Amino acid sequence: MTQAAEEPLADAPADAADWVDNRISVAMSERAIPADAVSALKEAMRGQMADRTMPAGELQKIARVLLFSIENAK
Amino acid sequence: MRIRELTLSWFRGAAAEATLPTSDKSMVVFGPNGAGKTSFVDGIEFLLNKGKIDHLSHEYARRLDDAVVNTHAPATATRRVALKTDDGSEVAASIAPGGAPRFSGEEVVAGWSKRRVVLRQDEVSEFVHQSKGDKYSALLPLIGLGPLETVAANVRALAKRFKEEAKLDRLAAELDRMKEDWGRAFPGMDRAAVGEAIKELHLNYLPGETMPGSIGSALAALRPVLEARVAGLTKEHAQHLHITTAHEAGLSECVAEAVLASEKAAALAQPLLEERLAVLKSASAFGSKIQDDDTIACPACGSSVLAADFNAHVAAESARLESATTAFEVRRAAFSRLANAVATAKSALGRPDMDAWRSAPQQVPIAAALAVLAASDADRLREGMPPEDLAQLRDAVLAISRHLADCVRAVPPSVEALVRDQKSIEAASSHPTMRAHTERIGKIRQMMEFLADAEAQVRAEIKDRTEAVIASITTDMQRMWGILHPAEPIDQVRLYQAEDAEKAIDIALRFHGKEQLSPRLTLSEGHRNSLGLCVFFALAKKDGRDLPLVLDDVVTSFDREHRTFVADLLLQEFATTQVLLFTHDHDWYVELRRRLPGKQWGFKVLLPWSDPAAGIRWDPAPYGLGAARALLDSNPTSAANTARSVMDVRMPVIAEQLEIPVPYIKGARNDLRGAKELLDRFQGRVGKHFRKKDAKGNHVPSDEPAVLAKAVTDWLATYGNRGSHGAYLTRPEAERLIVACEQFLSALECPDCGSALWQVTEGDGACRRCDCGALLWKLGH
Repeated sequence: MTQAAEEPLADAPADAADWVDNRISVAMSERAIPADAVSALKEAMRGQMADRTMPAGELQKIARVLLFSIENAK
Repeated sequence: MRIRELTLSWFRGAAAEATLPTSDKSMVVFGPNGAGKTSFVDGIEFLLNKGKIDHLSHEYARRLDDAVVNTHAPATATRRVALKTDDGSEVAASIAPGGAPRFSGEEVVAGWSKRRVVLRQDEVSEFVHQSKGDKYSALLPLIGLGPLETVAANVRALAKRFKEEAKLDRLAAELDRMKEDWGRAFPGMDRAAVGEAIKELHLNYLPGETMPGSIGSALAALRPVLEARVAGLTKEHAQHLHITTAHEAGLSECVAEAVLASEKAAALAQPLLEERLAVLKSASAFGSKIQDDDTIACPACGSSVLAADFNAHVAAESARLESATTAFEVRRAAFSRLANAVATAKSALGRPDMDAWRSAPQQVPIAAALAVLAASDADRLREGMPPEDLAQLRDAVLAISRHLADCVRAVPPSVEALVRDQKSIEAASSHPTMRAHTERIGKIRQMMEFLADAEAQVRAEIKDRTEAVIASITTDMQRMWGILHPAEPIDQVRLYQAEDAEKAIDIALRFHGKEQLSPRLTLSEGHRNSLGLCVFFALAKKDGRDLPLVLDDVVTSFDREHRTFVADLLLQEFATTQVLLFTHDHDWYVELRRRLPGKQWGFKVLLPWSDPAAGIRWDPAPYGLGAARALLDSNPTSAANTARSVMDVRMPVIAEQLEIPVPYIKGARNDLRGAKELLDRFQGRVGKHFRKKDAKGNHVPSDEPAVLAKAVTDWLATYGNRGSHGAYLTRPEAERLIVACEQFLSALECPDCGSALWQVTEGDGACRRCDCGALLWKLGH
């Protein structure tokens, strides 16, 4: 049985947020993604992305933050 | 945690109050169709699912009054669902008239997923019938991976949104246009050659001036000079300049390309849809057509084809879809180019200094076409266009294009050279913008790749975890299947993730030694439902939390033998779990009542539902005869028939438990004994086998059950036969029969401890005793 199977299923929501957070950090180190964009994405994921399907308005806000961060990246 | 009590007030079929008390036990609730069983299940789902009941939600949206409230609820009545648990906590929902539900104590059921707790008959069969993708969606929340799937879906939606916000398509189209202009101005030239060309222009237009140190400075010096030259042109020359610009936009080529791409995409789309539908229909018929020799009877023509050919057909469909996708990409690019060309031509021909040209008599033939061009919207055009609008634009553009070609031939050479040079300057000047666009597009694409990669990583994680969960529940699934289907040649049932799709789970099994990747191909409806039950139960076991299981008529498609095995499964696998089991199957209810231990299980019977004001009612009479009583006023004949059918179900159980021998009858009739025959044989056994404690505590014979059995036999012969053979009964006649049945069944039930001789499961093998020992039935001859 793998590590994942032994994890309690009831903890999945928090676990999902942690997991995504961790993976984005790894991805940040592997790619030249501006730190601001990664922070915005992590914040969004931690707060909402694992809980529910996000409405268009919220996605638009995050998309704009990502866009701003890549436009202003040195 | 256990459900101690569930109360409905004007909710679904309930009137002022309908309470299901459990005493913290598991429960079997029997009720005929429409009695209100599902109202209780709906009540639980309503509380667990934040006011939503899945099987009704598409009907009522938020109009709760129209769906979940009793249609005849008084305006001022409390409409409420409340659930108490074994620790005394309560979760409740009140529904104000026309308003949303107000919840209290929601924390009591936090973590009680509806999908984990409640299972209905239609959901069992639906799950097995579902596509692999729908199975994936249904299972993921149950195995705790719903949040990760939500993350993946949100990341995908974010990537799409980001692409829109970044206007990637528009930037890419602009870059393409600038590259095309550059290519026309400097065909096949490298940067050095372009620099030389600009220097030459500098020499031509600014002779004697010092050559600037950079190309950018040279361009900056050239631009005002050329603009001044253009401004100094005569009105006629300026018009020629704009006409040339519009002509070189390539309107006719672009519109031809767009029309062709559009027609090709449309030609692919229509038959594709029709054929996809045909494939789906064929695939649904596939299951019933497969044969032992790996051939399939074609659903369309009936001829036998190899399974491999069917797979080739599926592969061809996939290739066709990919081709259609490419066609739509080509169409999108063609429309983008057409939009650029239209924007350029519209701008050039729409300038104020072209007013005179547009209104000149020579342009009358294309006046309508110019109006179409002026009214066109390049941004909307970029997104595509309906065929009739495109046809109109094409006609206009072709007319303008032909007209412009004639006009351009009349352009003076000096103007032509000036136009060419100005375009070269513009193309060269666009270089920084091209570079900026390229850089920006690169960043956007990198971010999009990052998001796509993030989604791919989440999906890979989901896949790994799903695989692990599937592996861990397979043993439970197979053990449960073995209980439900002992010694059947169908085994190795298991969930698996399909490799050919991103989000797909199906059930595989071995059918008579042959691997099957879908239960739909070989299993009967009943067996498929068994599989659905095994998946649900195995997931509940995997969950590990002590939550109740609520099962609503989940064995409807099972035959008698397999219903018995469901009881075995509950006893073996869920002895310590609270199960609320609702059934309309009276035979099964009687069997469960006999087999399930009274210490852990409670039993209740619902009366037939009569009207909204009466609502859901429990049968106050024992043995299910309350259903017969409930019909006395409205339909005495039906009441008598109901009493007879109750006795027809009870007596075989009583005869089996009290070991009353009956002669063997060849054929199926041996298992279909009527109540009257068994009551006759019962009477003959009472004197020798029945004992009752007297005042001194001695077990003495009593012929009371025999006398009461004879009364039932007599009334069944008199009224029961009449009732079931088309004659009508009066209320007193039907009541007489019901009372006789009640008295007979009561005679076998101890007045002190309340247990019935035919329901006790424990004994010493020689006799059956009630719990307190006051009544006794000697077994054997």
